[in-house]
Parts: sequence; structure tokens; C-alpha cells
Amino acid sequence: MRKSILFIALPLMLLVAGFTADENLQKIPSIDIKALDGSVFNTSNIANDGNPIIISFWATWCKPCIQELTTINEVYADWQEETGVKLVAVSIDNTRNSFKVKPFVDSKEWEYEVYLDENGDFKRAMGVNMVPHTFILNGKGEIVWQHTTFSEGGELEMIEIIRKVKKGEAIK
Amino acid sequence: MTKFIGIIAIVAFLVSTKSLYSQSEGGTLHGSFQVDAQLYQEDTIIGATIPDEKMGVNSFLDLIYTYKNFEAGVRYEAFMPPLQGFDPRYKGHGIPYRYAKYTNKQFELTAGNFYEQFGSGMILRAYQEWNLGFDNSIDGIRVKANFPGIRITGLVGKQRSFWGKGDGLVRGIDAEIHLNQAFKRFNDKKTQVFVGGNFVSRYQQDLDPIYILPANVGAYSGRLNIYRGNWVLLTEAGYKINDPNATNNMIYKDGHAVLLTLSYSKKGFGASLQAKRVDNMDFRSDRTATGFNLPINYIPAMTAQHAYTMPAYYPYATQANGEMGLQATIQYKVKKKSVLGGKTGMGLELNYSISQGLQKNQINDSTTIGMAASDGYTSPFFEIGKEKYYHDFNFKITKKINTKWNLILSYYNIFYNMNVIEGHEEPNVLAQTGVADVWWKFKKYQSLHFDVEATFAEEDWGNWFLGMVEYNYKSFFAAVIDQYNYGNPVETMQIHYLSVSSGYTWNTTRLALTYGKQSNGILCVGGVCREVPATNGFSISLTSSF
Repeated sequence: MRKSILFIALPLMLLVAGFTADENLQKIPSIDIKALDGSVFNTSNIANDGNPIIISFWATWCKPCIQELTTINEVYADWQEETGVKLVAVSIDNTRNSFKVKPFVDSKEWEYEVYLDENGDFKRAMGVNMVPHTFILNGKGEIVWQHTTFSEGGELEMIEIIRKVKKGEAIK
Repeated sequence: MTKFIGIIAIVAFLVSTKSLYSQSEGGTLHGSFQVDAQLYQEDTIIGATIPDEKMGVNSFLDLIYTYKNFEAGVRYEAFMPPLQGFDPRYKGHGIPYRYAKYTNKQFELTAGNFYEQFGSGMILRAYQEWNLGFDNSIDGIRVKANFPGIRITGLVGKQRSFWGKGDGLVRGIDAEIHLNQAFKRFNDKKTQVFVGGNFVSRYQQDLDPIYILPANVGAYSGRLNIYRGNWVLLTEAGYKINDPNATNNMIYKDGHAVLLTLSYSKKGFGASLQAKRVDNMDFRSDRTATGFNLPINYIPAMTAQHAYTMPAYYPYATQANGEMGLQATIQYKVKKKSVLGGKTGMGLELNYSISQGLQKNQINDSTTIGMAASDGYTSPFFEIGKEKYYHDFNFKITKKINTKWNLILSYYNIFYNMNVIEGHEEPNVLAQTGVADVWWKFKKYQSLHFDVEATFAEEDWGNWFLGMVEYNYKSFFAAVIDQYNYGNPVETMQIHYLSVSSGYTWNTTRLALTYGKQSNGILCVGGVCREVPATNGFSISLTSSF
């Protein structure tokens, strides 16, 4: 009996979730993470003067994540100039590796705003199961697009979305 | 029955949220799910067996509802039965994780399940690693308070143990002061200083017929973190009172831990140095628990975490009950337009880590080291033990040749103490691995990825060769992997572990299929490693976020 209820309840929950997810654009939850200077940063403060924002979840041990961030870094200055976009890179490395993040980012000469989510609080709140997981936010800070995994050319699709967001077009 | 009502209540609650959407400031609902299933085939050579159910399924659905300052979440999990390599005690399904949280500017209150970390996690860390089958969430109450420059967290609860809870009650408090924010006179100082401390206590009744055991076991740590320009210094030292338990052979010795990290970095260069010493610091909410079950604290392995298959074949597991370690990492970017750097520059990375046992001395002539019911041993703080547990020397060269070709070459030299890490008396392993990782982007959205790895090890399973070819077109991939154990000392085991896989990603939904043989391996988390058996068969993985 219990089992059958669960099997009815679950699809129901998914269905509801599916419907509602479309109607209201999700904003960034309020979670405390750490900046590279040790200070606490609340994720509800992620902002970019009404311009688009990319939030990319990554880790120092994740090859495709590094590939994604390295690829974007090469065109980042152009992207910024064209669309005013800002990339926020959230490392999910735990204390085993989180101390390596600042040296890693500096040595790669990444120009991003980087934060540490050592115990996965922000990751969980954003429904991130695996990295890389990238979100694009519109000027109001609403999530308009998200994608997991990265492959060559993935950045081209991203900039298309960002251009649309900049123009205020709906993403679907 | 209560579960049953709970589920109906949740569904009713979720359905009701739909109507909230029509309001201007409605709540939002989002979450994620994942299903991993494997259909097993027998392979007597590699030792792959078929469970009674013929297949294994691990899955979860996570839902988070937020409305203004209020948040609630549930996670439904089903292991029917768990995939091979996961603890069979996970078999079953239900809602092991649900919570409600209220946040305002000064306070945050959580009732139900939560994850938490005090400082580096040396004394307390509750977290989840779904893919490793690890979850030690706390079910109870947590309060956080925020004042300018000061943060305090208090909690009480019991930890998750598969489908039940650990016997012991965990109570803890942590406070951190950011001096520059808390005190006016430090406001403008360049150096940022953070001072923190925590105290955690476990209560578990003593019902032992032989021993008189401490029912309340207290542990605490202090930390000092300093950030100045290019420099970062992180320090933490902890202590635990005597806590005879299943992992330390019931000795009445207290525990100590020290963790120091120094790093320096600037544009194009990064370096870090880390040292640690831990002694008798395995801390669990049930003194009889072992393995992945019910750890309260987290002592990180002080070694690099490798992303390639063969270098990750011999991973280190922290020895929370005694080890000394060092780790150094240097990263450097050779400038563009230099002799070595060429057009695009070149990345260099060097990492070395070593772990040794503690020097342990007898407390007196009649007591052997670590004898049950004794004070165990004495251990001079600065003296390094003779037994080597692990070392790892590795370097990596990353070179983008042009817009089409990308090359990563790396080398790994790993020493692995079989007895300490896996607990069986077999020769220690010295494994050397070379990896060549080549990307060829031959069209705008199309690329081929070649990964060639060779491992040379005389002990254990001998030499390995791994070859992988992966094709990517936008969000589609297909790959073939052959892991060949050509150097296995047992001739019949010199076999190819061949597998093919393919997958596609639609925004946040990813579907991947794999067919073939997977070699045995080791997965490590929080200092404990678990053996994953060799399997053969068809597996499917579906994951999505919404």
C-alpha cells in the first residue's frame, strides 16, 4: 500500500514541479558561501547592474569544468565588452582541495568572481547534481537557462543566449 | 503510517503552492533527480556476479520549495536494491531527508535534516556524496545567528545511518569572528583576520558489560585564518577526550589534530604548502560504528585528487587515528610569446604529497602499543613514524597547440601501503603512470578526445594500459574505453575491460548509457575507502535539475 502511494505521489510531485517551474522564474537563493579573501558572501547579493550573469559550478578535479572555464576565459573580455556579462565561478571543492582554489585560479589567470561552496550548501540549493553546471541569469537575477556538462563549442551556444538576454528576449 | 501521511501532506502542500503562483510574489519550487540502474551479467573471470534481483537501482528526487523567508525540502530515495559496491544496508526506499528553514537578517532556524561544517570540518562535518553512497546528515535543530563580524551556529540532533539514525546524540556550537568587521580599529587594515572555535559533544549511553566508557565525549578546535594580499594562512588545531571505540581498539587515549596551510599566488603563479598531524581523531556518533557509518568529523586526505582513471586507481584514505603528512603544489603559466610558451602559453603543475605513520611508544613494559582498555601509546609530537603510508609525486603539462589541438601530458608516481589503506597483508604498491590526453576540435561543434594511460606496477595487479576515444557533437557523446590488465601476474586475469558508452544532454537533463565490463576500483570519502567490485552489464544513468 505504502509503495503504491509513493508511486502515485512521486509522478504527481514531478508534474507539479514541472508546471510550476515554468511559470515563475527562479531567483538565486540566499546562502552563505566564502569569498577567496575569507569573507562570507551571501549568494542573494550576486548582481551585475542589470546585465546578464553566468554562474558556473566547478571543481579543481573536474576536467570538463576547467575546459569550460578556460575556453570562456579566452573570449571573456570580448563577451564583457559586448554584453556586460559577468561570470561567477563557484567551486564545490571541499576542505581537501578548497585551499588550492585561489592559487589555481590565479595561475590560470582567470578573471572571474570566484567563491567557495565547501560543504555544498549552494550546490544543493540550486539543484546541482554534477559539475559543470552552468546557469544564465537575466538582468533581474532570474535563472533563464541552465545546462550541465561541457563540450567543445558549448561556449558558442552560451553567448547566443547571453545576447538574447541582453536584448531582453525570452529564452525558450 | 506516519510516513504515509507525511507524503500526502507534502503532495498536498506542493499542489497548494501552484495557487500561490498567481500571487505577485509567489513561492518557487525546484529540485533535481537522478536514476542510476544497472542490469548485471555474470562474468566469472573478473568476478562479476548477479544479485538475486538481477539489477540494481539507486535513485533520488530532491524538491525545494521557497516562499519569502521560508524554505522547505524533501528528498525521496530508493535503492531497489542498491548498485553493487554500495552498502547493502541502503536497500529500501523512503524519505530520509526533510527540513523546514526560516531565515531573516540575523537568524536562521532549521528543523529536520541539515548539513553543516565547523571550520575545516576537523570536529564536525555533516555532508552528502550521493555517488559514493555517503550521507551523515543531522536530524534535529540548528540555529544560526549573524551579527556584524560575528557568526554563531548551534545544533543538536542525531545522524543518519542508512534508513535509521545513529545511537548517539550530537550537540555542537561554533563561533567565528571576522576581526576587521567586528572591531572598528581593524576596519581599514589590509590584513583580514578570522578567529573561530567550536565545541562538539556526543552523548551515548554506556551499556558495555566490560568497559566503563565515557557517555559524553567532548571535542573542540580553534582556528586562525589570515589573508593578506597574495598570501593566505589557514590554521586549525583540535582535541578530543578519550573515546574508546571500534576504530581505535578501545583505547582510553585522547585525540589531537593540527592542520596548517600556507599559500601564495599572483597572476600566472600559484603555490601552496600543507602540513597535518592527526592522532586518534576518529569521532563518530556511535562508538561501535566503522567504515562509512556515522562519522561526526572530517579529516581530509592530504593528497591530490586525480581525475584520470589509472592515477585514481590507488587513492589514499586519511588515517584519522594517526598520521603525519605534507603536501606541496606549484602551478605556473608560461607566458605567451616566450620560447616555451609559444603563441598560447603553457601550463605547468607540480604536486608532491607524503604521509607517514606516527611514532608510537609503549606506555610501559607490560602494555603493548594500542592494547585494548589501556591508554594505548604515547606519541612525541614532532617525531615522524617509520612506516610510510603513501606518497604521490605528479606533474602535468597543459599546452594548447592551436585552435584545433589541445594536449595534456602528465606523470604520476604513487606509493600505496596496502595494509594501512585496505587493511590486508599484501605487498605495498609502487605505481607509475603516464597519461596523454589529446583534444582535436576538427569542426565548429565536433571534437575527438583521445586518452591514453599506462600504469607500471610490479605488485598487486601489475601493469595496465588504458585507451579511450570519445566523440563529441554539441551535447552528444559516444566513447569506447579499453582498460587492459596485460601485466596481471595471474595469466587468466590478463583481460580487456571493454566498455562503450553514449549520452546526450538536453539543457539540464542528461542521459547516459554504458555497456561492458568495469574493473574493480576504490572509492574514497572522508578518509574511508570502499571497494567497488568488478561488474559486467548494461547501465543507464538519468539526471535532471529543474
